[in-house]
Amino acid sequence: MSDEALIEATDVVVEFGEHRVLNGLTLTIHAGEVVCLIGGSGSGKTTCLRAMLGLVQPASGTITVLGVDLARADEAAREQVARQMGMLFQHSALLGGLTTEENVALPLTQCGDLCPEMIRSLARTRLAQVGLGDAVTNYPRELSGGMQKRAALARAVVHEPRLLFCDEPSSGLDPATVVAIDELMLQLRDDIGAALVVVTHHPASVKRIADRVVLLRQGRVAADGSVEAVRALGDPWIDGFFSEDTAPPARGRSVAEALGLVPATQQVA
Amino acid sequence: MAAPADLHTLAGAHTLLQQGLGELTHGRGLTIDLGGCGEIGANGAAALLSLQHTAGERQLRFELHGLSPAQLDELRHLPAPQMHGEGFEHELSLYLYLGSIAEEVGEQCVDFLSLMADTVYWSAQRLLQRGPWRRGQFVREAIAIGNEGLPIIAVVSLLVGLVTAFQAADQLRQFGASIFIANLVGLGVLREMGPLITAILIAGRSGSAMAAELGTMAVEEEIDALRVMGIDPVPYLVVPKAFATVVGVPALTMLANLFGVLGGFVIAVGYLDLAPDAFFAQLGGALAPWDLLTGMIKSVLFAAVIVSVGCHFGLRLRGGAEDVGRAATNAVVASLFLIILVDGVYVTIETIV
Repeated sequence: MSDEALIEATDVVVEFGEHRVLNGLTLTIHAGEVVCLIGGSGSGKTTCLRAMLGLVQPASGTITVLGVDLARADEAAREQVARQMGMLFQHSALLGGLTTEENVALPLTQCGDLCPEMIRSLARTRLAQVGLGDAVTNYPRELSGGMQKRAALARAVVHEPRLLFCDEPSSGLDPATVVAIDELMLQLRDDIGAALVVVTHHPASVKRIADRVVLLRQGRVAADGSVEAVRALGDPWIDGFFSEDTAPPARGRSVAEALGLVPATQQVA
Repeated sequence: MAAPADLHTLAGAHTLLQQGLGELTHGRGLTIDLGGCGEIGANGAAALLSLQHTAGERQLRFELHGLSPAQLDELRHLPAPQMHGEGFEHELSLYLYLGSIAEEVGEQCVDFLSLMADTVYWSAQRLLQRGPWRRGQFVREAIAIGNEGLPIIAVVSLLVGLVTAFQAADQLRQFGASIFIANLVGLGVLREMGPLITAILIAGRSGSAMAAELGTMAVEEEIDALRVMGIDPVPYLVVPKAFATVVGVPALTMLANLFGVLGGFVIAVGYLDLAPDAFFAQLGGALAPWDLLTGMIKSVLFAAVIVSVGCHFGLRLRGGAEDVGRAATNAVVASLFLIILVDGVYVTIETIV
């Protein structure tokens, strides 16, 4: 991990119609660190990732990725940044019409100076690294959910990005596969030295992989620090998240508050 | 009650209490004693909130008594719904409704024109530059359009030729002008029916398939995945489809022309007792090269409409699986409307010029 800031998001506001999803989000991601974004449903985690990837345009605020302000950059600069980023989507997002090898080779075809033989070799090496050396000619529909996640991870890192984003890499997977995917992410991080930004709902994954935990609430950062530091804050939601066996308390106003039975509480910021 | 009341019991009690609230006058109120109840449950909480809401609207007091610590804890852990604003009192005014429709139509038009411009730009790039492009995909798409469309277009065109000739046959015979059936069928099919039938059938089959395919890719985040990898979806996904459609639709139109004229020929020979030689001689005299060419120009325009509309509705899709079907349906309806519109504009310009 170094102090070099790869992403600097400042006062970012993202709105979908009248609904404000990110509400003044400010966040910095440093080189080589693993940052886990946690928060309740609708807190803005996935939108935060998509804004950093340039897939959604902020209404205000700035996002600088690898020194490039995404809102002001021209197409060439944005493409240059895109080549240094990888993304593992929640549902893998492998292209159904391409084989596993063709999917993994896709980012390499954008590098321009690689011959087809080299592309093939690099793709197969990454597939072997994620344990899919025998599935190069399979189509995504022929793979299990865990295998698709592995193939998508191979695709996300094949071009050795400096930034790797993972949107709920453990969703829909059994606990053993979750551990395997976590270890694979760390192994690939060590291998290519990328910073990882991971959106997850798995407390065990956070404990296993996170250098930093960022809690998002109502579209802004509510807590930021190491696992121990954020757990020490005493936030009921964080306590519920990490205790695993108890559900986090209700977000926002409770029925008891609405009925005037208890005084309205202030959310922990 | 130890367990939460079932929905029907709760609904009955709620209705009675709502009626009671309706009869109360300003300043009075409702007090509910929950001392004899056990668990309240989400439905019970919803009923209490609804009563509180009604009481608030009528400026009546609303109080809960006899709550046990367990009940209070239960209510503290239940998230409160939004009882005001959208969904309860929010009614969209006619102006806002019309405005939202106008905004949606405006956005759709801008997106559509932008996609058409992108497609033309990238198609020109692919034709002018020798860089790698998805020739294999183009061939697969073209074969799919041809294979899917060929039998149905042949049959429908033959039937349209037959029916058109049949409808005109008796009228022409009355005036001793049976031979002009060749003019009618030839000009009608080559200039209008062939391109139109082909375009309508391909819009229904391939246009909807394009919208569904790209829509599914959008739902599955595959389009976003391409963008993240620095791959523009227009040259990667749309351009091969555009080439395949612009090549495929005119080729199928030629086939439709052939079968349409064949239908007319069958009626001319079989029903009007014309000699085959006479039919073809009359047909040759009636048709000019421009008649064939104008049909081909139309078919290229129709192909551009089909691919642009299909890809537009697919790439624009946001939402879930049910929206994929809606995108495919919208693509077909919009394609058919635009095909007829383009046809009308083309014929008008051709006639005036």
